[in-house]
Order: sequence, then structure tokens, then C-alpha cells
Amino acid sequence: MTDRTDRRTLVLLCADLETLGHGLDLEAVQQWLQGNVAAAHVQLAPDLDHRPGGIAKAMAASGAARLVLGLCSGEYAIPEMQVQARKAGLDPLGVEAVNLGAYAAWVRPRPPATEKAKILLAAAVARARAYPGSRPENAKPHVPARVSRRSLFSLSLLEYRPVPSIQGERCAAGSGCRVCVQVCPCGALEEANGQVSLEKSRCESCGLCLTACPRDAIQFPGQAPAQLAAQLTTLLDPTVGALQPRGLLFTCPRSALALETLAKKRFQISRSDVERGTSNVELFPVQVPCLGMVPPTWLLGCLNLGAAAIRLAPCLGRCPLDQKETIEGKIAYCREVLQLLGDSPDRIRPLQTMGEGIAYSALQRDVTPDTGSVETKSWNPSPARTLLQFARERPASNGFSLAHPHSPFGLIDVSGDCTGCGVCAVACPTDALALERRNGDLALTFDGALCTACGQCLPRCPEVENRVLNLERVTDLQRLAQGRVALYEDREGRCQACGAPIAPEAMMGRIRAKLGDEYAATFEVITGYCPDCRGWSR
Amino acid sequence: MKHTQAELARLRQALYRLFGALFLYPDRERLANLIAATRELQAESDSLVAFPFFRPWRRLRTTLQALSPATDEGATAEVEEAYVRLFLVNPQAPPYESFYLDPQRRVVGWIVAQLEREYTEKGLTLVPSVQTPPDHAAVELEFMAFLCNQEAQTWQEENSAAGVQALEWQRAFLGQHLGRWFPAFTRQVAAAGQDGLYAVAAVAADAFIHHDRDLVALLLERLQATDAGNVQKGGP
Repeated sequence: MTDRTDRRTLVLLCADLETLGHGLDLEAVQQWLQGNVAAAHVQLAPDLDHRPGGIAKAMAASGAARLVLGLCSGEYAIPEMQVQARKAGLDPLGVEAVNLGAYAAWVRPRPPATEKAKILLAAAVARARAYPGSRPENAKPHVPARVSRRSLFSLSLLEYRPVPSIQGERCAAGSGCRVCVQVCPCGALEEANGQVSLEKSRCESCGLCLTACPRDAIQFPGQAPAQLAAQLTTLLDPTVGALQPRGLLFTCPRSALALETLAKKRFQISRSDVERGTSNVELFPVQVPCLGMVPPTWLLGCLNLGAAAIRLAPCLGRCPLDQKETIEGKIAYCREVLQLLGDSPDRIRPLQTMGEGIAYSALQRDVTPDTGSVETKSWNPSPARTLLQFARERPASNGFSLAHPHSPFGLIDVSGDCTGCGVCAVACPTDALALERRNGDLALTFDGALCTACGQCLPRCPEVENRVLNLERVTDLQRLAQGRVALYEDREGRCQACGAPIAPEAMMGRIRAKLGDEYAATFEVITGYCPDCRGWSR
Repeated sequence: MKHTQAELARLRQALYRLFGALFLYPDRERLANLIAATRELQAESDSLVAFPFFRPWRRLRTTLQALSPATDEGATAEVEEAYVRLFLVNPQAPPYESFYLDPQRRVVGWIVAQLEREYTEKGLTLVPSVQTPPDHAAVELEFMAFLCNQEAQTWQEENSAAGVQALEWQRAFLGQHLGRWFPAFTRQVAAAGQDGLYAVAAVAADAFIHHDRDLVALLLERLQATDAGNVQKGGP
């Protein structure tokens, strides 16, 4: 692995991992990281989960600029860790914490658990390096639910959670885009006067707005696309660590806690269960704020990177953000795509329907066809290119068209009554729709690879009642690859005085129909002269 | 570090006072006072480190303490020049709310009138000899210090209803005034290409105001929740 900067990353490992569950060979982890991950410095600290008091000193001594924690559990002393990070001059939201207990020490025998820990930590270092920083508006204070009135003012209780912020210069709210407002399940995003603002007290940090935004205008510390790409490419890089084949287990914070409980419980019930694991794919956890935020193209993109299997562990029980149906829909979409491409749909599936025993076995190794990668690949940030690349590598990919309510792509069509006014192109936040002028002609063009089916264009069309503009949630490989095509073309009327374009001829016809013969003279002026020339030309 | 309600309000008052003074003209005496104030607040580092604005605050403290107004005339002259360029003569970053929130950018418009009314309602009197307008950053920050002081007194007198009222006033003022325009002001200072004391001060003040807005909202939410719990239990 190569480091893009020479700034050091301190990896602090809880020394208790040596004896937790099956235990990890921490000396081996330390040597491997220092030998294979550039600029990584590794130290051990006893009871790091609950007593992170030495972090600031360790940071100062190591001269590191980033921090990765290898912990026994997902439940650790977050406020104290954040204080230590600030003392060390770090942004606490950029500190990576890896639960090596639940995903390695409790569930795998010592040698593979140690290998798994190496890969998880290398990926966490990559994530930490890609952290883009935060702004003051990205931190939300949080106090535990049950505190007395007096202890409320005890500052040591405060924990800061990341919340998204809107980058005004990229946001398309000024041209009518409301995608983030519509997708937010908490009603935390509001639009006023062409600007979107976040009501922090309502925000649950689910990240749905982050992946829904068609302009990448949402900044969410800890969930930046660059961080995810760095983590995924490292986890699935066959040159990093020894375990093969590899898969990914997407979790949310709630399901991660449930899996951890399961990991500990099952280990205590029967140690022999652990040793009986016969499956062949090692699943590596990827925790996201809510599985509802994960676009289908991320899942397919992970297969592109070489993942043998993808598993999703949604909230056990009711999802507080009501995303279960959405998650199931996205998985169903991916499975249909896999089937259409002649691949095994089982490469992507949820954990929830399989019961505790199988969920536990997924923490060890999961059963799936051995289709893991043998080469290092890179993450493609474009959803359309991701899918096209995926399809190219499949033998049965002669092209397909899949209409699905969770398709991340859409197809726009216009009927004959379009007047070429171009309002839809102005409203389109991704520039999938564009109004182009070519040698006196005017064309409304569409690029299927850019359309996210956000539907922002539909209500803006002045002919909305006549259903002139139509959107279908379809993934059509041919249209994704086709590039920009004209949906509507027309001649443009020109000013008789100065030659400037006035309006498409269809629009003029529509105006004439509205005005009728009674206003024929007015029509002649409107369609004969541009606004600048109307005053004096007659 | 644990705080009583009054101590927390006093700590916030001290920070608002310091940030307010930072945006007044930096003569040598004021700079010396500011440096002394940061030294005093350094004793509160164990408390301040609990907040996300700690990093910009520490940077500000370091920048201020590197100045030696008593011995280094050149350094203080540089600060004065920066102040004049940024905030006084054809200011690159006008430190007035009206500049950022009044659609016509009127210097004495409805925002100033609204602020005068709010200051008067809270028991303050406008002194004609003071030239700093009511919508100046220093005045608004000082007003927040005043509200924090009122809050601290109410907690000391164990008048919790008045304490909640004082927090409500702070939330309203931050939401309607300081919290709305200070981020734009900070961006303006950064856009002026100034990387000295005032860039650091604006970033630190902005981070503090952002946090304080969240903190006040959180305190109110929790106080109201615990009050509701007490009412249900029939306790005090």
C-alpha cells in the first residue's frame, strides 16, 4: 500500500484483545501493520475501550496526525475519547474505531481472527487518511437519555455526533431541487428562499440525504464518498492481508450492536460452533449510518471491486427510520440485475431472514460461490459506469432493460405537445436534461447515465397536466451507454429586427392558440420581435 | 470536569466577553487585556476541551499569546492595520449584521431598530457617546455575555424558571441574529485573504457560536424534559 501523504497514523490497539474470545496475536498485527501500511505506527494500551486517557500522550509521542482505534467492543467511552482527540489536536469525528472484538476475536479462531484484524485496521487507516475534515455545523451535542437535572450540566457527559451540512455553492435548491428535503425521514431539512437548512435537533444522522443529493452538495464527516472508496478498495484488495475470498457485511449502528451481542452470546453457548465453520467467504463489516442510504450501485460496485458476496444486516426489529421496505427494495433490484446478467442473485442478500444461527455464522464465514477477486481494482464513483463495467464483465450482458421501483436510474420521454420551453432542463439537478441550440435549431437532450430518477423536472413542466414529460424508473443498459440523445427538436423563431432567438416555433403556436384571432396583432409583435426590439421596431 | 449550572453560564459569559472584545479596536491596552483574559481562561482548559470549538479556541489562544504588545510595537501595529483594513475603512469584512442580513444592506435599517428594541427590553440603555452600532459583532457578543450573566445569577438564586427564561432569550438571540450572520462574516474575513489574528478569531468565534446555539437548545430541551418528568412524578 502506498500513502499519498507522509503524515503518520497512530493505530492504538486495546491490549485486552490478546485474550478476548479466541484472542488476537497483537504482536503479529503490530508487525504486519508497521511493515505493510505506510506511515502507520502501532501501540498497545490496556482497557482502551473504557480508559482512553492516554490517547493524547500517545499521539504527542508518536507525532501522528491521525488516529485509528482497535477496540474490544462497539460500546466504548466516546465522550472521553473525543476529549482525548481534541487534546491531541485532532478532529474527533475523523477518528476511526474498529470493533475487533465482535468481528474478529469473538467469532474466529486466533489465526484467522488475527488476519482479519490486520485487514480491518488497514482499511480503517485508509478511511482515516481520506477524512476531509468537518465544519462547526457538523457536530451535534448529545446527552444520554437518562440524566438528572444536576448532572445535565456535567460537561463530561456530552458526546458529539456528526450531522450533515449543505454546501451552498453546490446545492441546486435555488433552481428548485428538493431531493434532500423529500428523502429526509426526520423532517430535519427545510427549504426557504432557495436555500436548504438543517434543523440539527431533528436530524438522526442517517445519511439518506448524502447519497440522495444529485449534486454532491452534502458534507457528512466520517461518511465522505472518498472515505468509503478508500475503505472498500482496501478491504477487497487481495494484496492486503491473506484471507480469501472476501465479502462485505453492511451494518447500521443498531444492527452492529445486535450482532455484537450475538457474537458474545454464541461464543459462550458453544465454542465448538465456532470451530465447525465450513463456509468459505470471510465477511468484513462496513458500518453505515443507516442501510437505507446505501444505493444499489454501491452494492454492485463492491462486486466490481472483487467482493464474493454482499450481506446486509438491517435493524433487528423495527427500523426507527422506517427504511426496511426501501432496503429490501434495493436488494431486490440488485438481485434482479444479477439474474439478468447471468450471475448468482445470492451474492447480495439480507441477513435478517436467516435467523440467529446463520447471522452468527455470517460473522465467521459465509457460504457462497467462490468468486472472489485476485487483482486490485479501483472504485468507480459514477453509478452508471459502475453498472456498465459490471455488465461488461458478465458473459450474458447483451443488454437489458429493467423497470423497477428502486432503479437508481430513470428514463425521460416527452410527448408531441412539448413546446421546448426548457424549464425541465433548468430544474434538472444533474444536467441529465439540457436545452441545446444548434444552427438555429433548438433541442432538448437527455443523458440516461446522468438521470437519477429524482423527478424534480416533472412538477416544473408547464404542461404537467397534459403529461408531456414522463419519467420511468428503468435501468436500460443501452441507454446508459448511449450518451446524450435529443428528445425534442424544433426551429427557433428569430427577431425580425436583430435576429436574436425568441422562442421555439411550437411555443409560438401554443401562444397563438391561447390568444386566438382576437389578439392577432399582439401575436405578430410577440412572435416577430424579441423583447428588446418590440418597443421601436414598428 | 463537572460544572454547576451557574458555572457553565459564567464560563460562556467569559467567552462571549472575550470574543466581543476581540472585534473592538485593538489598541495596545486592549490587546494586553485580551492576552491576560486568555491566560485566565487557560485554567479552564479541562472544561473547554469537552467542546468541539476547543481546537480553534486553542489556535486563537496561541496566536494571541504570541503577541507582546508591551514590547513588540511592530506586531501590534500589524494587528491594528489588519483591523482597519478588514473592519473600518472600506471594510473588506464589515462586522455588522445589517451588511449580511438586510436585503438593502442599510447601515441603519430595520435590523438596528430591532436590536435597539431588544436591548432595551432586556433592561439595557443606549448611551449616545458610544459610537459602536447595535449590530456590531462586538456589541452582539457582549449582549450574549450579558444574557449569560443574567442566567448565572438566576441559577445562583435557585430561580429555575428565570434560568429557563434566560436560556430562551439566548436561544432567540442566537437564532435570529448572531447565529444567522456570523458564519457569512467569517467567510468574508477568510475571503479577504487575512490569515492573522482576525481570521483565527473569526473562525474560533464562529465555532463557539455554532456550538453555543446547539448547547442552549440542548439544555432547554433537557430541562423541559426533566421538568415534565418531575411534574408527572409529582416531585419538585
